[in-house]
Amino acid sequence: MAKAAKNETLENTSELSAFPKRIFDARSGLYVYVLNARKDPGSVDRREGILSDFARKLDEERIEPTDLVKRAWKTSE
Amino acid sequence: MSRVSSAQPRLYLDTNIFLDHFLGRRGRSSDLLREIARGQFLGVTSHFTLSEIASVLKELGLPQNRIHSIINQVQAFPNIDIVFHDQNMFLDMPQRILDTCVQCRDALHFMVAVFLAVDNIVTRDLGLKRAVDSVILCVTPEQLLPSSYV
Repeated sequence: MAKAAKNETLENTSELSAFPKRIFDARSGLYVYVLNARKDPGSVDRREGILSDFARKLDEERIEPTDLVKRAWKTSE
Repeated sequence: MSRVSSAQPRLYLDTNIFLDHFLGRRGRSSDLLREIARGQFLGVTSHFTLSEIASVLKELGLPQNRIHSIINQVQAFPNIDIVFHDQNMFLDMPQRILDTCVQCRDALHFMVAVFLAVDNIVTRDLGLKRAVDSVILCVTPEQLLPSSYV
C-alpha cells in the first residue's frame, strides 16, 4: 500500500485516483492514508433504501444491522 | 481531509449506520449522512467498514456486482473520508484495549477513531458503546440531530 500511495499535503487532495493517498490531518496532527475516491453529492439520496426488500424480512425476524455485522463475522470464522 | 471548516464536529461512522441507510430503516441514519454531505459534520470511517458492509451484503446473498456498486457509492458519499489502518494507529492500542476491554472487531474501529481525534463515534452497537464510551462518547444519529430537523 505504501508504495502505491502518494505523499500529499492537505491542499492537494482533490485529484482523483484509485489508490490511497497520504495526507496531513490537521485535526490530529498526524499523517494518514485516505481513500481518494470521486465524491458524488447525489449519492446519499440515490442509495437510501436500496436494500428495503431485505429490511422487511429483517424486521419480521427482528434482526438489527448490528446483528448482521456480527453474523457476518461468525460465518467468516 | 478537512475540506470543510474544522469547526464542525468530526464523527466516526460505524458500519451499522451505513446499513441503516441502505436498508431504509426508520431512524435518523440517512438524515445524518445528508447532514454530513451538507457539511454540518465531518465524517470519517475506516476501510474496515467497507469490508464489513461487503461481508453483510454477501451474507444477504447479493451478487458481487451489486456489492461493488454499493461499496462504490459509500466511497462517493460527500465529506466522509475513508481512512486506511496504519501501523502508527496500533502503537498505543495495547493499553487502550486493556483499559476498555474492547473486542478485537470493535478495536479496529476504535483505534481509527482515537487516532483521528473524533468527537463522537456514531453507532447503534451497545457493546461498542459500553466498551469505549469513557474514551470517546458513542452516540446515535438521533442524539446528534435536533428533533426539529425534517
